[in-house]
Amino acid sequence: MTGHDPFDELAMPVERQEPRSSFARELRAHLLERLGLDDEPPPTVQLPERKRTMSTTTPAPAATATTVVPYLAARDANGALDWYTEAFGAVEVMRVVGDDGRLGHAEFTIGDAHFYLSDEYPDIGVHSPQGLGGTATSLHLTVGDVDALFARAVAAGASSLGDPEDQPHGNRHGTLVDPYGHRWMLSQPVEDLSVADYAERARGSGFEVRAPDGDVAADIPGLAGGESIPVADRPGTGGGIWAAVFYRDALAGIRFLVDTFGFEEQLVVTGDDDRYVVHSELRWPEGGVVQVGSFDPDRPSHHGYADPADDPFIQRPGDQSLYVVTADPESVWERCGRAGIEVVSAPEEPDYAPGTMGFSVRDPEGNVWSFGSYGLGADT
Amino acid sequence: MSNVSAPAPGGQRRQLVELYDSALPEVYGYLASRCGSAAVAEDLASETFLAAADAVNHGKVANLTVAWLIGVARHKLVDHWRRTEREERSLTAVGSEPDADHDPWDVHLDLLTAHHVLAGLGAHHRSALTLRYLDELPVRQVAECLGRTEGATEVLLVRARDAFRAAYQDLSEPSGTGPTEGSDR
Repeated sequence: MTGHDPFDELAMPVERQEPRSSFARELRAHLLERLGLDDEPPPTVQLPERKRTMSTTTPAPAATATTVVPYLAARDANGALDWYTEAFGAVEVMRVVGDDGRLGHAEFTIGDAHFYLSDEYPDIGVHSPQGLGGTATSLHLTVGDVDALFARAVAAGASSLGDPEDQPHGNRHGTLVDPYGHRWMLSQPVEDLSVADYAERARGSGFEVRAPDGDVAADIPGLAGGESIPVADRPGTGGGIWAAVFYRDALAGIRFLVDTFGFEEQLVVTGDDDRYVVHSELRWPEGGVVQVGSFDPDRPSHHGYADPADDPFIQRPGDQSLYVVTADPESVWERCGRAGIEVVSAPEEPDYAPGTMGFSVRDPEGNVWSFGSYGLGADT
Repeated sequence: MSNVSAPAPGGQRRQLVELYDSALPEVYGYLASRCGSAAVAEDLASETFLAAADAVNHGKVANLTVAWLIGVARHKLVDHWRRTEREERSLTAVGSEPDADHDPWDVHLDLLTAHHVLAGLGAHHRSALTLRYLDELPVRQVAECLGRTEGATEVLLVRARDAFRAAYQDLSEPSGTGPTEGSDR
């Protein structure tokens, strides 16, 4: 008899194996409950806080006066408040109107910025720009789409002191004076620029750019006091990845994407014959862009390939599969239903994402489009 | 025992949650590799941690470690096989255990085949062999886990080994002489 026991070979040391993450989450919650402990978030990678852009529709969070609040005075402040609402999309928080009709105090927000406002009371030293014939302070607002907001303010009666232009400090900004005499600078970050880069650009301009050693954020938009908004977060471009999709009849493809799915036509560049789409940008209203291009097997590609099938930048129509994140897949589904297009998979709640829904359809040239609410931020 | 005093449950509760965060893959891995089913492994991992929570709540845990958790998981696994065994009993007649075969058996096991064979054994044989050989527990501890005497466990192990060996040989050495290429398909 040998000392060898085949059964000894069965020894199986404990090896780590990751369970499904949803199971791990649920069991953790049960465990906390059983232990009578407060729920606390599981340890996760700390993500940077989402950068917020100014929105003219989203109500601002409740005011917490932890920072300086500009307290504006205006002649006819009631009118001014209405004007800020109309021109800047301000949200009125409250107004305190005196027996004499004057505005004793009001609070409003524009995006994340808080403002107070009252009528002028020269007898107690509260002067309006109109009373003074000028103002010593400019109100600098960081915004998501400076051109749109600037145009809106001018249309509402503001005077432009300088239309929006890209500036060497990395912002596109314009300056205006509102009908009540306040001077506003609307600024949209367009580049992520370090102080050093700015200093380099400013060389020879008559200004020298300096930052205290080893301190202060190096990013100019941040220095300017507004929140730094990465270029990729700007409305108008939305997502950071632009998908390309091709059609034999690209103009019809664009029509279809706009009319049926709800893309917004932003830019269409055609070639010499008006049918061949060299480049286009269709914006998904909730973010992201698709670039529609022509695939024409009978002519050279615009990149100079005799056979477009050889052009590495062009895919055959029907080869693409794209997923579009939307808070309202039902509406897209209804439009698809009215258009009578081919369904690849009907709306369903995927088991990996309870509470969301999604579906897939095929466009007239065979590309597959999926729409779903999975992928939306938790806060939407 | 008098020197062993369990820490206050308050601190141990947090400690258990921390242990959960770090050791869940070990507990789950232990269970999944032995029961061969993700769904069963999830159930047993849940039972394990909730039982651990109960024990902590009652101040019954002297030493809250991964090894202790694996021990709890082992008991849950045995309980699971016991339930399986009861179900099997109600379906098939017992008593078909092969006669003890005490010839020395000196082969090298093909582990894939071995685990396949193990999964096909009756639940009582499977538990005994798993605890004794996969987990490498001494017979005394196997007996404790199975709630049997050491003597009864020895007997069970002998029968389990014989059953395993018979099934293993059936699978790896088909009856007849030489391989039966492509037949019986």
